[in-house]
Amino acid sequence: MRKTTLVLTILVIASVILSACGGGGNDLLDVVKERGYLVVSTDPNYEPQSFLDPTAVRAEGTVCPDDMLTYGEMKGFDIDVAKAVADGLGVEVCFATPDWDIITAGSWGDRWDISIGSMTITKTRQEALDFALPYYYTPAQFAAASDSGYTSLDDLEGETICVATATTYLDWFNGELTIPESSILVQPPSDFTLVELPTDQECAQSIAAGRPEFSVYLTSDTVINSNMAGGLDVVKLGPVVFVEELAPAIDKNSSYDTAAFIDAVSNIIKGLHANGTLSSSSMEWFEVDLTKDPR
Amino acid sequence: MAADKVSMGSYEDYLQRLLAEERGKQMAHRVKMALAWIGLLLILALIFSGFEINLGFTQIKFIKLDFEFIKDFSPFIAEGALQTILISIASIVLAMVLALISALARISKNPLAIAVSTFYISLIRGTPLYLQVIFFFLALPQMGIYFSGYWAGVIALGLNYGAYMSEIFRAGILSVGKGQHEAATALGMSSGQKMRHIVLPQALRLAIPPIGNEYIAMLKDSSLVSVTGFVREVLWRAQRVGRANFRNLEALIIAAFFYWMLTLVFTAIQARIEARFEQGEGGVKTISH
Repeated sequence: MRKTTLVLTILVIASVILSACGGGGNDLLDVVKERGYLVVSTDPNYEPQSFLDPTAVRAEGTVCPDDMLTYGEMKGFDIDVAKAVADGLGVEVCFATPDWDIITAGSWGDRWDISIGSMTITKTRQEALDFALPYYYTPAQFAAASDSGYTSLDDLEGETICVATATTYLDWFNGELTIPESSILVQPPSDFTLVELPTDQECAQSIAAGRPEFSVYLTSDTVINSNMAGGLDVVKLGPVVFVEELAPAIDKNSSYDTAAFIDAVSNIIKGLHANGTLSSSSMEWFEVDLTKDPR
Repeated sequence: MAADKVSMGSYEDYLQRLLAEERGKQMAHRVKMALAWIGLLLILALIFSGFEINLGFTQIKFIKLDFEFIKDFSPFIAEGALQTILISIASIVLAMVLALISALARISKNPLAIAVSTFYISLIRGTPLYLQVIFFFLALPQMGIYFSGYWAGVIALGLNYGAYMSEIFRAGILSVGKGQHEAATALGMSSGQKMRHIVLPQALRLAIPPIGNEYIAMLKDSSLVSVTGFVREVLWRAQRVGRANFRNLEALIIAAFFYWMLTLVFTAIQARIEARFEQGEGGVKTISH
């Protein structure tokens, strides 16, 4: 009796492991085309890149599964790029909304096909993710509360600064930013204290709430613009610190063969650069063309 | 004879009077409590009123909220309440089943069953719920096992709360007196019958208040499941629209309001279930026929 249970257990475990080995060998490009929709992950925390439209209704006749969001329910520059990429592949675009650090960590378990979420290409991320061609570029910028008394980047020596967790802004402070050297325009101060919050919006919120711990934060120029438009009383501090290349990311740990898929996405982006779609979309969302390489 | 009747009557009157008095006291007690609640609610409302009171020597300022935002975004956040309810109900059912099984295994005499049960409780209670959600959602696919975001969340929450609730069931079962076991055995019941008809009904009565407590905790822990990216419940929605519109506090207050309402509803349901289990116990209610 006991022996049978043991044998059964071993058989079940073995069959599970074997079934896991059975997968693979499929080409992601074929899988997506056959499925009829592209699953894009994006964190809707960032207007105007990616945000929710609470009033929108689900796209009519959508093939997206119930637990994914459709184009229209999600809005923003990243969302429009995702739509254009899906159009280029000839499929519908659907959105999954996992936490940002889960997207950047890779090993997505094939839950979504691609991340189109303003992700900066870095060497660290390249260990877990493959990147297609960049679709736009973001300048990194300090912003300080208007009454902070800071007037230049030199004033930040020894000060407390807010950054979001798992971002390139944090990496820049720690000297771990692994974007190309030519993209880093300013070196971090030699002495500083960091406050790490889940997103840069929390930094802005803390300043708005009058929290005393810090009155300066580092984030993208576009986030600062939207914060200022949202009524936050901050000013941009100093010049652009570094320039990021933002590109779609694909999981290196995918159980599918992703090479053809990455090529296809890169080709679509090349086309979107060439025919001006990206420029006009950038003008629409940022009121400035961020899609030209500033270097 | 007549005198007897009179005295009987007056005794009944006396009892009635006592009962009425008792009811009156209970009523006054309830009214006082309700008034205190209303007072506390008013204080809470005052804190978020945005009023500025000038006392001459100092000024008291209360928290100001953007009610336009609250009006505009409440419906969107409310839609997440359904997700929250669906996840927490499925999870609590799974948790109760797991808790009961592991409690029975824990008090059994089978060393393998005890080992499995204690290992389960130790492993699950010793690791963060966040990790467990991630495990079922992102790690299991590597073994070719896929659960949707919803089910990965339900399984993680169910396993997690099952481990904690196992102790509640165990305590309930152990609280049933030795005499009850002996009486059941004397009636010729098998150990299975004894468990089903004598021990578990009594154990469950004791377990209900702490289970309700766990359920309310789970209602709020269910927000962890949104990290998967496929579940958009109350807190997730609140955080996203709050951050995007620069109204974090307002959005979180909307979420808090819905969580509180859900908690009130389930507290009421719990009270009814408790009252039903109380009935057989010869409490105050059995006096008033």
